[in-house]
Amino acid sequence: MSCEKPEDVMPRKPRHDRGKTCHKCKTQPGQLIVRHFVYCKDCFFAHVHSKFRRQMPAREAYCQPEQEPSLSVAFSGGLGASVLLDLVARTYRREGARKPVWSPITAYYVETCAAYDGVPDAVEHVKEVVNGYRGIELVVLRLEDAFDTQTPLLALSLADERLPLSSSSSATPTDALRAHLAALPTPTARLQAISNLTYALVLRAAPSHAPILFGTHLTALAVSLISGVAHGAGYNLTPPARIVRPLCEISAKECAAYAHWRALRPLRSRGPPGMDSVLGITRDFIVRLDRDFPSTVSAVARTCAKVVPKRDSSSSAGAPLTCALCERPAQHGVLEWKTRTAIRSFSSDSEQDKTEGTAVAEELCYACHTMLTSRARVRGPSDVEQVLPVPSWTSSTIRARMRESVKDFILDDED
Amino acid sequence: MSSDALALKVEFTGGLELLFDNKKKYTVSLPRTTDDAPTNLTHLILWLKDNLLKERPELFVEERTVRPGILVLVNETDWELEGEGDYQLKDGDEIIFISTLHGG
Ligand SMILES: [Zn+2]
Ligand SMILES: [Zn+2]
Repeated sequence: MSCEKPEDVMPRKPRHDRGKTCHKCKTQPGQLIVRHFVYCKDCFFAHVHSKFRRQMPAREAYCQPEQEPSLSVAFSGGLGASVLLDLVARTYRREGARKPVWSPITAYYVETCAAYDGVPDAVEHVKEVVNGYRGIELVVLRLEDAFDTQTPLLALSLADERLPLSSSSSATPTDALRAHLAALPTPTARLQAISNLTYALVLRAAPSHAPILFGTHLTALAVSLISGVAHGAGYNLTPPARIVRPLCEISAKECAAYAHWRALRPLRSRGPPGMDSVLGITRDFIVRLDRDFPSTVSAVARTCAKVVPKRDSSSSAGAPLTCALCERPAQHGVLEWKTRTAIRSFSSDSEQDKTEGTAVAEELCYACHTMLTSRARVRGPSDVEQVLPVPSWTSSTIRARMRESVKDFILDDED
Repeated sequence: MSSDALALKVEFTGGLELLFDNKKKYTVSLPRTTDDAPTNLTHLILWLKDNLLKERPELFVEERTVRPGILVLVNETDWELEGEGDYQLKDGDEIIFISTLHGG
């Protein structure tokens, strides 16, 4: 067995072919190579700013009468988010700018430390960073806010892929969050859940009529698109219109150089690097691809973004469904899909009778259902039944949909 | 071994410092020649791996170069413009290793 180095098979192209002078101004010495192009520092900043501005939505689309349109920034504190916030501040909160273009501008930070062991709370650091910019407000949320235990939370039994309802015994939001993550079958599912909860919290906190900017850079976008396909999230490759990713054409390398030269202080990623997850493996693949074939990653991202799924037409499948867990659009009939695409056996009929009417699988998108049930559990006497408390919004959506399904039978008692 | 040494400033950021005792800045002294050739960036990377790296070498070095996803700046210039590992180190050079993988 030969173990050729990749270079022997596919020779890497030279990094650049235009000498060491900036290809834009043609006078200053180059300091950074971006996809075969040589930039000096000044021209690099100009290039990043212009790519950012090109992706920003037109404020006119969000104007309310007598009011400046507001802008939300999903601020994770990470590399892309730090670059994004800096670009927003420099573009819309410039010293001496005549009139605010967007007002207010609010950064939403979700503290996720409760999801990990030994990860420190970063709220103080984030406050320092955001307050360092003039005129940007900060809203701090916590991942456990997703599990408000004031109204009892529902729970799902993961032992059955129809996901029958169960009840949650978690006393506090943090308990419920930890029980939620502990019940998930794989590291991939846990990472996905943390990202889904964060996303849903920001979307719920931000004003619904304003755009929300995410700091997803090109490299991260390619990773999430490819790992999203692997998770079965193909239906959701195109986000809702109010989600904007102004860094979608700017690579991780460009972000790192920008952050270094602007002396930004991004938070390190939370939790383990995660080569045990689909995300970690995909990231490793994309980063290698990016080094050896720098134009390919943007091609991957563009191609994936063009795969616009066919949404159900209402005639064939009823009203459009929103996933009760991640709140993204979902296709009807998750279980039907799965029985058609795989050989699987359901539990005994008697069990099915017992849980019918309260199973939640059909309220979820394909990706979430897969996340909850991904590893084929070996059913046996040692198999502990896993109970997964669901977020507050999922609990209330399920209650509402259950009420809806029985409303014709409800006898109007006095209350 | 040459008596005359190169003094280099080395910095790790973006999370790479975690592999180097959670310390960002080092001053490193290397001989002017290594294996009968002028000391270059590849020699520095291997020296860092053998002498300063505390854990998980696979997150820093791969096949005698840095792992993909690490940006290297030589005196604030992309090392890809300087010949990457073949760049011959000079006294007083400042080398920064930045991980681009610290999340979005
Ligand atoms: Zn220039
Ligand atoms: Zn979902």
